[in-house]
Amino acid sequence: MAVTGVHQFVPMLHVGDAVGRHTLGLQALLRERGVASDIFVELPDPETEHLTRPADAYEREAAPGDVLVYQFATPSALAGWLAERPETLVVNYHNVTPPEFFAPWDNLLARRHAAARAELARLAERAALGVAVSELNRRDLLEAGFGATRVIPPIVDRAVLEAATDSRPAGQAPPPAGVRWLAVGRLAPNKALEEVVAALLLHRARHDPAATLSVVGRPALEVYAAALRAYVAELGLSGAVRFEGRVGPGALAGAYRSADVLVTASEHEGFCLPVVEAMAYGLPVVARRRGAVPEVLGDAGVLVDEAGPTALSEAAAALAGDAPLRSTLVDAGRRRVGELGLEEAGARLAELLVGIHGGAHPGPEPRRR
Amino acid sequence: MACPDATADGGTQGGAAAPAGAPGSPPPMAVPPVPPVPPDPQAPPSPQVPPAPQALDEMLEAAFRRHRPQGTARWNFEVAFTLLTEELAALDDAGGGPVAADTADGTRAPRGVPAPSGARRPLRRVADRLVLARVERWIAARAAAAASDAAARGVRRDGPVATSLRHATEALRFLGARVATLEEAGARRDLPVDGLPWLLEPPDLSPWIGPLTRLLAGQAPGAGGAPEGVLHAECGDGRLVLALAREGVAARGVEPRGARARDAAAAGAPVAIGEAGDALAAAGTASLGGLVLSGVVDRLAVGDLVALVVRAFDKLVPGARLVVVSSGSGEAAAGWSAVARDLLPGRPLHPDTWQVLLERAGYRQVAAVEPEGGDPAGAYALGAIRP
Repeated sequence: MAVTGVHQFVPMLHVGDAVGRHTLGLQALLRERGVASDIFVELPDPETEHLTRPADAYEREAAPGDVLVYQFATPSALAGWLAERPETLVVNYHNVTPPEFFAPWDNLLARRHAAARAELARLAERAALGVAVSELNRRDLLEAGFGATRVIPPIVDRAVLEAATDSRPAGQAPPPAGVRWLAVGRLAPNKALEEVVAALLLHRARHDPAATLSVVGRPALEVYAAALRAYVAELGLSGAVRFEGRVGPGALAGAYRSADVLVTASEHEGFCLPVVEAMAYGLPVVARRRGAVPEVLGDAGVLVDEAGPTALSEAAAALAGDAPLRSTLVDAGRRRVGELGLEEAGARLAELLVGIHGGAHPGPEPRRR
Repeated sequence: MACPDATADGGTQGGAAAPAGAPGSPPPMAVPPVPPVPPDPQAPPSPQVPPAPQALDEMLEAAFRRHRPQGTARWNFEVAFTLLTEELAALDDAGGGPVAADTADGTRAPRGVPAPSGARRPLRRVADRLVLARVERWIAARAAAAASDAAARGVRRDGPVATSLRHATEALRFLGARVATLEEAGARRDLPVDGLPWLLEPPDLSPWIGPLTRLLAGQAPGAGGAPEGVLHAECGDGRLVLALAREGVAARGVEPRGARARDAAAAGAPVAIGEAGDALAAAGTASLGGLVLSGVVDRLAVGDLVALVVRAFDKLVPGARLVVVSSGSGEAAAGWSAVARDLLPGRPLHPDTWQVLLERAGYRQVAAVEPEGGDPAGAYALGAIRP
């Protein structure tokens, strides 16, 4: 049976987040190949409403040869609905934050994330293929019961990939005082941004009283964001920490270029795009060895095993004072971006989906660790 | 412990934000320096991370954990009533297709793509207004009784009323868990549950228990009819509250140190864990027959002290006394720990200063209360009348 269309389903399409960029990138690649491809959503985002259609509109135009791709990163009623559809189903899995991270903050959200794990298991029974953006995510798919799986990294902005090939020198020594830390990502409990803030406090007290932190990202949970702001004030860091909120691609690139180090304390990441972006823009990375971060970062950054802000702070201080190490890591980071296969990721995924009925179906494959 | 210039302005990012340590911002947490680590010639060429001072990490983590809303009334009621409003919206959608929201017990509602969110919004707004503004308080007070009534009346276990009651009960359960957590923390040690009182030992009240009991028990006739009696903030082990009770004076205490409050409660004193400012804010206008401030008066900034006594003026009935018991401006403060000196915004004031503050706030007949027995060790008590 020929593929008549490859349509994507996503609970909400946000233009500024990794899943949104991936979804839009995949649609463009599919259309370039002459394949009909629409994006259907459970709830419209005013910013992207013109790019999407309500999910229930699909039912009226469903065709037997369609492939439905579910961009799975959050709990949604779409999961149950798609599991009941007769079309070929592919789950593109970006990870679901484990509910325990939300439990201290929002009972309802924690409950929904717990339900999302059950949704993944339900989809496993129906999906022809599970595509994970990292090996870590593939393990989730296998545990949920998926048979056929593939690992294909997410589609990232062209500008990021081009930055990685930039021949301009990077990784210069940071200023002797006033090192600029950068943290990028949604303000969510699993990102442990409070540890970055606490690490900055220690760094300022022990090494560099003028060090600053810029936090880029939208609040995923307002109560957590409010707690972070209160914590910053309580630690006397109001003048040193700036919450930039969500920024556009140009400002984001500027943030990477004007910072001296990306510091992430994230406890759980399905991929961690900011690490890729930092490497591409020549910004050294200090990160926790958690989730998919070591898989993505490889040896191109400083990985911290110890819990707590002290270890983060000391790692960042050691990096700031070691110009040769910074230079080594910057070079390694740009190489690492190439090694991740991001350039071909979109094309690989598009080809896989278009050929899924014609022999390109992966079928049960040897499971990689 | 020292904090090397932790309040320096690091404004290299445009300078839009206020400098750390600006007026109104809390004091920064003191951070001990890390001892230098000698270079290890055998070590691989990677950043050296000295062993983490676990206690400091834990202190910082605890400081952030206090911001978590888990178990607070606001959060749990928000959750419970979000569920309620969704249920009301679902009822409204009864003719408009399936609803996909998760139910409270984790099971799934009928599957399908939900109707556009906009269709629910008007009703949600109404439900928010009605439920949150008018019904919440009633349910908070009556949930347990209503659950019992519902069971007695044979309300359907899976019906909307029973579900709503389950959510309200759940909210109360979480609230109870939060209280238990606070009590546990208080029992373990005097954690900084709210603010910094744990840094400072309040003065020993022994020399004033007798004089203050007589003073407050025999105060102006009008004060005896105060609906809320005498309040002692920070009451420590509750001895003054108990002594007043023995004289027939209605009295209660608030104490911010969890362990102390538990000791006082165990001794039979009606004591709540809390801060003086919060307790005063909660008291009704002209409702207190007397107010004793101890401990708190030594650690707040002068501006906060002025606000406290001004607020107290409104809460005291005419003729009631305000008593300030201070550690004194000399030796006691000199003996504070370095952390207390660094972090506490206030200092014990001289009695003359208190006299000025109280008179400017409208109090009259400011006079020393003489101690009896025991060694005041520089501490003093001042009484004043709210005219």
